[in-house]
Order: sequence, then structure tokens, then C-alpha cells
Amino acid sequence: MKLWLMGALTSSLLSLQQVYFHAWGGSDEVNQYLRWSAQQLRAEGIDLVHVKVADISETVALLLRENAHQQAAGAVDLLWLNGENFHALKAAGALRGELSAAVPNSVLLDPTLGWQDDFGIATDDFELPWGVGQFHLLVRGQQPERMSPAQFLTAASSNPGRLSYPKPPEFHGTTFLKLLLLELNDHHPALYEAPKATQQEQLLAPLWAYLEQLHPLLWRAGRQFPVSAAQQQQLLAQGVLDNAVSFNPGELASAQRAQRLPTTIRPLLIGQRAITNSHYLAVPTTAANADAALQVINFMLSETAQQRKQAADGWGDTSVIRWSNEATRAALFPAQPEPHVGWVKLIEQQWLARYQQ
Amino acid sequence: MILMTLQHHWRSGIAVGLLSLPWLLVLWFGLQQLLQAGDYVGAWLAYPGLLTMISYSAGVALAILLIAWIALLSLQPVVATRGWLIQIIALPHVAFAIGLLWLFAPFGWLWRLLPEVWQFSFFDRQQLVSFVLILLVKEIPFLWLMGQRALAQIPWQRWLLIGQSLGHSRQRSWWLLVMPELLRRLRLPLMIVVIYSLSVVDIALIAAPQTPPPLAVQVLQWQLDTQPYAQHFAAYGAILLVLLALLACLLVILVERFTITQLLPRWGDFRLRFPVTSVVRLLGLAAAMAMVAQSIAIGWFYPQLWPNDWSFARWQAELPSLTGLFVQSAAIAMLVASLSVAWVVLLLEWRRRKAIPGLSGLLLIPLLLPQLTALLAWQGPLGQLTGGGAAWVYGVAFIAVQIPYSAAYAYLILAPAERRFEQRLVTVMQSYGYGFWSSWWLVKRRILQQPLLLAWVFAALVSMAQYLPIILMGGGRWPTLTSELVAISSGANSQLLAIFAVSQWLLAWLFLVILAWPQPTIEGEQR
Repeated sequence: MKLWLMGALTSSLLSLQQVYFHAWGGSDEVNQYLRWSAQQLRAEGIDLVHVKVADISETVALLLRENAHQQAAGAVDLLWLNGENFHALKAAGALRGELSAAVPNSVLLDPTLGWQDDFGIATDDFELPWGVGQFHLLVRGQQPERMSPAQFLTAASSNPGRLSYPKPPEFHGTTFLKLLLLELNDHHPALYEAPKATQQEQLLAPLWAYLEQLHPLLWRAGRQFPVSAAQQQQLLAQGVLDNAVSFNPGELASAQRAQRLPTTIRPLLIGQRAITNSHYLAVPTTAANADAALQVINFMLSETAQQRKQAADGWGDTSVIRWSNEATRAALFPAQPEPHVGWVKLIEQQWLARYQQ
Repeated sequence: MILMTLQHHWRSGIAVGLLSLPWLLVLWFGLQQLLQAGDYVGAWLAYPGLLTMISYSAGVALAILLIAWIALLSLQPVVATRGWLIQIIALPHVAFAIGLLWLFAPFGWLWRLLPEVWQFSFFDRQQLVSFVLILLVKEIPFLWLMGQRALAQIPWQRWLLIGQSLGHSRQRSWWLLVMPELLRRLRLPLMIVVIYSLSVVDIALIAAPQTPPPLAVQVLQWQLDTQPYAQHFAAYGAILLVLLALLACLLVILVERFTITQLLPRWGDFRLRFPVTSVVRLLGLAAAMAMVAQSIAIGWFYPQLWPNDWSFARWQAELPSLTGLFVQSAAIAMLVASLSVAWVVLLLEWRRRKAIPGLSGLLLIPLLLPQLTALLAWQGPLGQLTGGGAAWVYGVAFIAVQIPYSAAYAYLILAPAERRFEQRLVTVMQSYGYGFWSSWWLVKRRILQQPLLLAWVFAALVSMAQYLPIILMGGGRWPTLTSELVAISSGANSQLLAIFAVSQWLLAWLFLVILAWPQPTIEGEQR
């Protein structure tokens, strides 16, 4: 937390360079980690200001407007994003390119983690990965660590009204559907390519058939869904639901330590592998303090910062760099690559057409 | 003489110019979006659930209108209720909704107390009924406060005496003489409550159905969607919302006409009591207490009646940043409120000299339009000025964009009282040699002190509740309790959320308590 008056005083006294970092502010663990980072960066002459937003698409809307007006300098120096928000900013030419040349620590990045594609679109050096996300469920009670979709259906029918997933197109909800699509089609190779008209119906049919069976067994008989993963976690804590979803394998431990979730919750994979993707840092072309922002990215990719980020008593977010000591890496679920982005659009549209009337 | 007329003309010219410029920008922005290549109307009409969304929004507005109307008809001159009214008005909306659901919804705290056979879920999350109930509990205190304000401005006691001297009973005189005037004066507040129920997003996200959501929620989701069609959908949706709002305003007028001409003359000797006054009070305070409890609770899971532990540790950890935010939010709100009230006072004085065409309409537009649309429209010109500049430049920008929103409420409270003011009192002072504004200060400010203070407080509360201007216009340079609260409420940490909600409540409460309560009615107001 930084207040401008105090900030301006200390910054001018110590001649610190301010960096306005727009990032989702809903997670206490992330906010604490950014407080720690700001303290570390002071030594480098940088004053990192975390601008907490409820949804980074608010910042993206602002950047797209600035870009449309060809504004020379803007309010945002650095932002935390992935997926469609990245796609939109990249397409609009609103992001600074050739980041890895400007960020020396990018040589540490582990190329085997698959961050070169962000939800199916090449990053092309317009953003650099910050951490790895792996989609899994958080489930109450003694459950196996893995379930097939059929077993999940059985679990739902033995305890109706207790399970749910976030409403697509919220990205956790969409990811749940992607996973089901892959599993129900035995990872058909066509799902990793742009959808062809001839195959669409055939490959999507098992998903809709499955949901027809699943939805009546869900919370509110599948007529209402949580609006976000965060809201679903609250419903889990309040005893309304028996499951939630998460993209951070370290989140459960930190939530249980903070007594935000009860100790009876366990992680659960649907299928054998977890859909894996990354979240990124990017610098807008309009950034007024671009050099300092690049320096922040460089710090975020350092061993110190990545280790602190991964620590179980903090954020617990999986690192994206190669470690000099391989044991430092947090255990990951086996990685499941994403289906082609074309399928995602299809699922989202058809889901709404079927279940929102 | 000609010179004087010219002088008056330039005043109203400036007023109309300044008041309409922001909305012309929005109109231009909207037209640009609508005229862009591609026809999306067909696709929009086919959007899944659109009809349901519209019916949700319209249904909610209608329900609120009717129930709020009954609440208004049962208004009684009770000054003693001010205290609790103010505490409920001061509660942050989101915290209020979360608190109520946490208490009353299935698996909530009170649900845990009930034996299993009594557990039924008429009040649940994502349910239209609970959405309407929460809005009502939040908005009825506002209407009651406005009602008490209106009563303070009419000599209703004298009117009742006149009625009784003509042979009517006291209650019939109330229906025939006082209530029609009261209803006319409460037309705008009622419109605002109904429009608010159409456009509210934060409470709707927590309490209303989401598959599909009410129209306003979907409009915001389209606005934040990066798909090429989404901006067009959002524009159509925003236009539809404005149309619904206009329709609702028309309905308010029709209901008012009908009540005054048809209903009231036929009503006999009964007194209408709104049965839930004490329920509203109880619910508001319960929601507040729920928030306070959650802010110090560690690990509070179903079916435990009490948390694993109580602790102030988190409060202590957040205190340094909370204090700073508290001061900064208070300073911003006070500045915006002062500027807004000054602007409204200036406009009202100008209006005394020369009519300003469309003044009410222009001032109340911000309550009708989705805020994100307006902010994105203003971002163009303002962004050129602020882009990458010093923090104070951003400060000027976001304070400027907050003024229309605060001024709308200041106008709503101040204008009716000002209209009844005998301006000759100021003229008399001027004839003693005082300048206009010192006469204004010595006489008018004194007599209108209570509405002025209340207008200031509401302007401050409205400013305090702003989130999007802080991010989009302020570039995040000037965080407030609300901007932090909104960011935190997008996450799953209910304790931290409660801490910020309670802090925000305290600040709002301070504004109201210090400035608006308790004060004796000043006789001059009732002239």
C-alpha cells in the first residue's frame, strides 16, 4: 500500500523511480508478496506501486483506449495478465516487444514449461512468464487423488446439490469444460488443431451429453453457477459446496494455513493430468517508466524472487525458471496441454446457448 | 439593461456548456461505436438469455417501485428514526449484501441455529427475491430520510390544522393535504432508487441470478470483454438500460398521478403502517455486526457456531495502510463534496437570475448512464492531459470526473429546499451594502444550513463509493478504501474484506454522524 503524499516524499528524497504495476488485488497472498517485492526493489532505486484492480480487463480497456487515441504516455507501466487480455493487447499493438533482450534474467526461464504459448497464442516476446498455473479441483473429504469424468459423475449423484463449477466464460469454468472435452474424447488429436466443421458435432457431443447428466446433480440443479473461482472458494468455506477450483497448486496449503479453508479439503485431478498454462508480465507501449518496469520484470525472474514466490508460507506460486539446484522446484502435476483455442470459443458459445436462456 | 441581460445569458450559457459537454462526449463515443463497420444487432438479439436478462431487470425495478411506493405512503413525521437510518445508509453496499447473505442464506449463521425442519431457502444466493430484498433494505432508509427532509420543508402541522378546521379528520387531512405534496417532492428520490435498482452491478453480482444475470451486469461484462462484437453488444445494452430507466421514470410519474388523483381522495380514516420498519433497522444492524464479527474471526466454517479463534492481529497488521487510506479517502471525499456543492449552489444562484434550460435533466444524467461507458468516453481527452504525468495531474482528472456523480445527489437534496427560499432576504441584505455572496453566506447559508450539510454529506458518500474513476482516471495513483475494498472483494479472503468494509463503514458513518445528526429543524426552512 502506497499513499501518494508519503510516496512522493520518500521517492523524491531517495530519488526512487516509480513503477505503476496494475495487477489483480483479490488475493491476500499475492498482495503480501508484492509488498515484499516492493521492499526488495527499493534497494534498486525502484518504488513498485501495486495498483490493485478487481479485474485486469479494466486496465486492458484503459490501455486499448489509450492505444486508440495514440496517446504517447499512459498510466500503466507494468501489468499482470494472460489469455484473452493478452490476445487483445497483442493484436492492438499495445504491448512492448522484444522483452527478453531487455530482461537479462529471461535466460533463466525454463523452456520446457510451455509458456511460449498463452492460451493458444504465441507470446512472441510481448510478455514474459511469471508463474505456472495448473487446473485442479479442491474437494471436501476423503477422495481419491484422481477421478475420471464418470467417477466425478458418480460422486455428484451420491451427494446431489453439493458440487459446481464457475460459470463459463469465466476462465476457470471454461477450463473445466476443456478438460472434460479432452477426457471424454480420449484426447482426440483433432482437439489440438483448429476445429473442422465435419468434426465439431461429433467431438462436442460427448461433452453435452455428459453435462446433461451432470447438471441436475449440481448445486441449484445446474441452473445457477458461482461467478468466479474466488466466490466458489467462499461457498466451499461456508459449507454450501463441497468443491471449488484453483489454478495454483500451492493455494490450498496457504489457504488452510490462513484458516480460509478447512483442513478437510484435498486437491483432486479430473483425468490423469492437469491443464497447465502460465501467467505473465507485460509492459504497455505507453508506459511512462518502461525501463524501470523492465527492471522489475528482471527482479521478478531472479532466483530470489521466484523462490520467495514459490515458498509454501507465502503465495506458493510455481516458478518458471530453471534452478541451479533441481530440488528447489515445487512438485507439479503432470502437465496437460491446452486444446486449440478454436475449440474454446465453440465451447463457450454453445454452453451459453444451451444453459443460459 | 442590455448589458445585464447579456450577463445573465453568459451565465446560463456557461452552465449549459459545462453541463452538457461531458455527455456530448459520451454521445459522440456511443455514435462512433454504433457506426463502426458491421451490423451486430441481429447477433445481439440472439444472445442467449437476453430476454430473461431484460425481464429480470424490469421485474426488479417494478418490484422496488411498488414496495418503495408503499413505504412512502406510510411515511410518518418521526424525527427519532434518523439515527438508525443514517447508519444503514452509511453501510457499504457490497458489505451489506455479503453480511445479510452470510447471516440468512442456507448454511449461513442463523441457519446453523435453526432445527433442520425449519431450514428452507426462500432467501438464497443468486435468487431474484433475495436481490430485491437486499436492495429494499438498503434503499428504503434513503427514501425515508428524503421523506423526513421533505416533511421538514412543508408546514404540515399548519396544513393539518386547516384540514381539521374544514371538518376532516386528522388522518384524512394528512391524505388530502400533506401526502400529495410529499409525493411530489419525493418523485426524484423514488426515480433514483428505481434507476439504481436497474443499474446496480456490485450487489447484483453477489445476490442476483447469474445464468443469465440482470442486464446491467451483462453490460459490464460485455464492456470488459475483448471480443470484437462485445463493445457493440455493450453499447446496445447500455441504450436499452437507459430506455428502461426512462420508462421507469415515466411509470413513477404515472403512479404518482394515479395515487394523488384517484387513490388518496377516496382513502378514509386509516393510517398506513409499513410493517417492516423495525425489520429494516434490525437487518441493517445485523449485517453490520456480521461484518464486524467476520473482521476478527479466524477459521469460521460450517457448521461451527463460533470461529476457531478471535483475533485483532490482522487489524493490527493492516492498520498502518488503513490509517493512510482512511485519511486519503476522507480528504478526497471532502474535496469532491465541497466542489460539487459549490457548483450546485452556483448553478442554483444562476438559475435565480436566468433559467438554465434542462438543468435538472443535465445534472441527473450521470445516474442514468452506465459509468464505465461515460469514463471510457472521457478517457480520450483526459488521457491526453494526464498521460504519464505527475500524480497530482491524475488527481485533478479523477476529482473532475467524480463531480457530476456527487453533484447529482447534492442537487437532488438541495434544489427542493432552495426553490422555496425567499430570495428577497438576500436582496434585503444587499440593500444594507453587503455584497451578493456575503449576503448569501449570512442569510441563505444559515437558513438552508441543514439541506446544505446533508447535500455535502451525500456528495461525500457518493465520492467515497467510487471505484472505476480511481483506476481509470486516477491511474491508480490515489487509492482509497473503496478501491482496495472492491479489489479485495474479487478474491476469497472474507476476513480482509470485512476489515476494509468495516473501515469504510466507519468513515461514512463519521461523515453522517458529525454533520447530519442530530440537528433541530430550523424554523425558517418551513416558510
